[in-house]
Amino acid sequence: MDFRFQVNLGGILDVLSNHLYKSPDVFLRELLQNGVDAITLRQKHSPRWKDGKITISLEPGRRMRFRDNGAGLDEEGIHRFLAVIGESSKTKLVNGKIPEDYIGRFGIGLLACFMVSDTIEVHTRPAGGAGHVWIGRADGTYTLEPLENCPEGTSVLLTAKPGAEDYFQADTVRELVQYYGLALPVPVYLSGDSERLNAIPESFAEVSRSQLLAFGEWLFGDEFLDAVPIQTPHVSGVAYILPYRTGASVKTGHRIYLKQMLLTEKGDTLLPSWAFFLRCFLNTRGLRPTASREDFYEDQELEMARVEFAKAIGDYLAELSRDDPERLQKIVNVHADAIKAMAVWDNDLFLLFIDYLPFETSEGTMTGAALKKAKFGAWVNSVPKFKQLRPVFMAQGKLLICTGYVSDQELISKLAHTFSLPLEPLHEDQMDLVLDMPSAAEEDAAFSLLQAADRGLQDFDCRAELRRFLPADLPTLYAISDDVAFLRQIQTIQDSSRGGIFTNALDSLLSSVEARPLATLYLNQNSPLIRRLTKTRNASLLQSIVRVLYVQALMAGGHPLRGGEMKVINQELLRLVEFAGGTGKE
Amino acid sequence: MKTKFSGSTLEAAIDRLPDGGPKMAALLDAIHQADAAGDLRWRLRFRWMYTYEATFHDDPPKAMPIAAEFSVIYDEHSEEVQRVNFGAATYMIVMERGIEPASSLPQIPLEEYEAMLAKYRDLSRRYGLGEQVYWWQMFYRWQYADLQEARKCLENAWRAPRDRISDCLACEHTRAVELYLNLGDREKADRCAEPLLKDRISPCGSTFQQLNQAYLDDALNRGDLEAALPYARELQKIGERDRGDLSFTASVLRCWGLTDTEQALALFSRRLEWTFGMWDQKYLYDFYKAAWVCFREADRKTVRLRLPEKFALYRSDGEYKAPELALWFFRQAKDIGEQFDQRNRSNYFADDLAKAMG
Repeated sequence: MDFRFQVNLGGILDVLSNHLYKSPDVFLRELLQNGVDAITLRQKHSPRWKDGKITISLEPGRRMRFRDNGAGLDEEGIHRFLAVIGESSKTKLVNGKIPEDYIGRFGIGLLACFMVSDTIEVHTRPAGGAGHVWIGRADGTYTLEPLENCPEGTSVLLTAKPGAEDYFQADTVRELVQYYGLALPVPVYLSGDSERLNAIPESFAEVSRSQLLAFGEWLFGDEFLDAVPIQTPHVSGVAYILPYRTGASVKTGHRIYLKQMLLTEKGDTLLPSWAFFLRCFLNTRGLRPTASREDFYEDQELEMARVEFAKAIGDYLAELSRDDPERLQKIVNVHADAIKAMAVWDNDLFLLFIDYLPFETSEGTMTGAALKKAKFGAWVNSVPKFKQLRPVFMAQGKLLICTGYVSDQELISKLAHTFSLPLEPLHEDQMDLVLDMPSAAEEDAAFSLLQAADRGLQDFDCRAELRRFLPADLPTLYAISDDVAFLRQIQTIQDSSRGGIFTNALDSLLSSVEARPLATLYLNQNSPLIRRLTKTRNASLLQSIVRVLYVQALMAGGHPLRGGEMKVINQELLRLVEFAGGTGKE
Repeated sequence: MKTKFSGSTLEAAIDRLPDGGPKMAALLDAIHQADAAGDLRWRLRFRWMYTYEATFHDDPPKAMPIAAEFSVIYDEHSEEVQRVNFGAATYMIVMERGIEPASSLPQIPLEEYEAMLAKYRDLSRRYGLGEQVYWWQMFYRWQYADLQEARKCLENAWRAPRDRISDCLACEHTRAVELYLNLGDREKADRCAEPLLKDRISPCGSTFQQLNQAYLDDALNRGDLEAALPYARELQKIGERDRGDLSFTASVLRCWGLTDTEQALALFSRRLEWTFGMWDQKYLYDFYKAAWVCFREADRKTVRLRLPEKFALYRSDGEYKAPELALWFFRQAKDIGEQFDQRNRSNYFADDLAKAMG
């Protein structure tokens, strides 16, 4: 047996009107949308008629009359479209699609007015037909009566609910019309005011740069670095380049319209992830909105729109590199992060921009152009590691590039590959690049020191090796691979706590490593201190000194000390003090 | 001169870094600074951020020791943590991130893994939070051992009440899709995928990657290459962001291995580096298995590849024998699979490898 759902109409209205939308102010967007659609319909029936307009009259803080002179509804249309949720006069498909010139499609927009008014009164008359007044209430009931002297078109009358009075003030209405309907093709006026609320240029492609910038300043309140006109099959408008540096996590407030009605301020769906340096005023066509009309539906058209937008920005910047490289450099200086992200994504942009892009190196900031001239360089993917190794590379006049910032690793790797440059990644367990081998005689002389060092360091999963490196005043360098670092981390937590939720699992993880990889403490043969130590024969003293040097190298490298290591430095320092106090010399 | 510790300044700088390794290195550094400054809020927050990065953008087991540290600090300062806005929900999420990787670490014996799960359940009861998460943890425990048990855990998870720490709903659905495909119930899998495809459930950053992977693996296991190709193309576009995507990359590699040697070799060379130092054994298994398929099916005996020196079979001339590489990767995958099966007392990985035999 078939059953039908029972619907609580008042409840449904409450859900639709109070919970579907994020803010009550969308009621004005829905009214604008219905008004524009009605005018579009009338224009369809009378192609020569061009006088469509929307007029909003206010009794400040109390009542609003929202009037359009488009196609009104007849009695059947009222029953069907104003009183059946989900029915819309615009859902009649043409060739299986909703006609492009209609904005709305869900037939629920008018309900948004219940967020600001307990009743919705609609006066409407179609061309050549009779007028009617329809009054809908939030409990789901409505009345319909004939109406004399009703002009062609539709008026919606709303009465402010307590708390919603602000939406019935002229300033608020002006602001909301400009916010939601700035790009609408139909003029919108406040009654008694001859100035059109929503006047913008018809085509941004024809507008001068200074005018675009002035428009951007008026709209967004920023003096932008530049304005990029966008004109593609799915997207048209302006992308403004922000005058200040910003990050990917900062969401700039865009104005993105669908068929000239504001859809969203968020660019996440339409714009590429690197577009955070832009603030856009865009109108889109051919895209599908989600049910709440607050974002786009993910489909192939959206994907095409994304590609078109990205290409438009890329083309503009390419043009700039030819015609106005100075302005381009200024933009790069402010927005290097975003441009780097674009260059990773697009090979043409990479080739175009790489010479201008800055990278942090041991020799200061270098552009891609400067790096192309480097005889050799290594890159390291971590800012802390770069900071640790920078002095060693600097002292030896070798180039170290920090690729620990967003996009840098991809770009430097691409740079090396594309131009066959001698740039290579540096792993900390491959330190030969900056460490020279000592002579056999030096190795022999350091035998006792190395033996004592290995013995002194065996508790710390570390071995000692003798090398020559600069700067000479750095006696030791601690190098650790990612694997050793992870094991060290486990060891550290195991030292400091037993009996926790992870203790046994971490023990198992540690014991599963068959050949435990070791960290390396490099002793610098160039250092006067190390050279002196090679002459010392007191093994116990050497062990104490190496352990202190080990802890000091850990601290210099920014590595946290394990519990045992803290103890070591205390014990060994005491032993050294005692030694010095006892004899004054070895 | 020592500068004053400022957690928020550090956090802003870290936000600028790429996800995965670079961000984790900076977070470790930030953790040390916060520890040195004794700033409880940032000691916890940076650890929380680190476990997130490890779990979602790099190598999930790396969250484990940091979660252990978080738990020690949290317990030591249980009264103060309320003051710095770290409630039980955060604690439970970090514990979840620490426990979950055990499903991908056969080095951890089953008894210890189950003991961690039991402790999580105790915590869940103590704080009145995370019952649903507990069942998802149990799901992970069974997913590579017994699919029927995993299905029961999934049903329990969906019966349990959602709370503040419940997983992303989209991820729950993609997990269900994967499970039902593995169980051979395509209809049920499609039903679980439908709300995601029809935009009725908001996707997260990995929803469509997981969904494409589930259908791609299913098509490859059935030997239906025509069905697999569109999923592989889409997954390659969206699923090669950082080391945390190694498993997605592996599925694509397996598909290219069977259909397009050139693309397969390019992808393999590009992403082999992601396996170095990777602790997540499931990620490694997936990649090794795919690499085995790739070299087994290569349309030439010798392949020219530019591989990192760290690779065990590295050759400076770049000339590799495809059968030799195939054998090496097969052995790696087989070893890991055997460890998993031994730990889980199951044949899951042996069967899985058999499906890739072709």
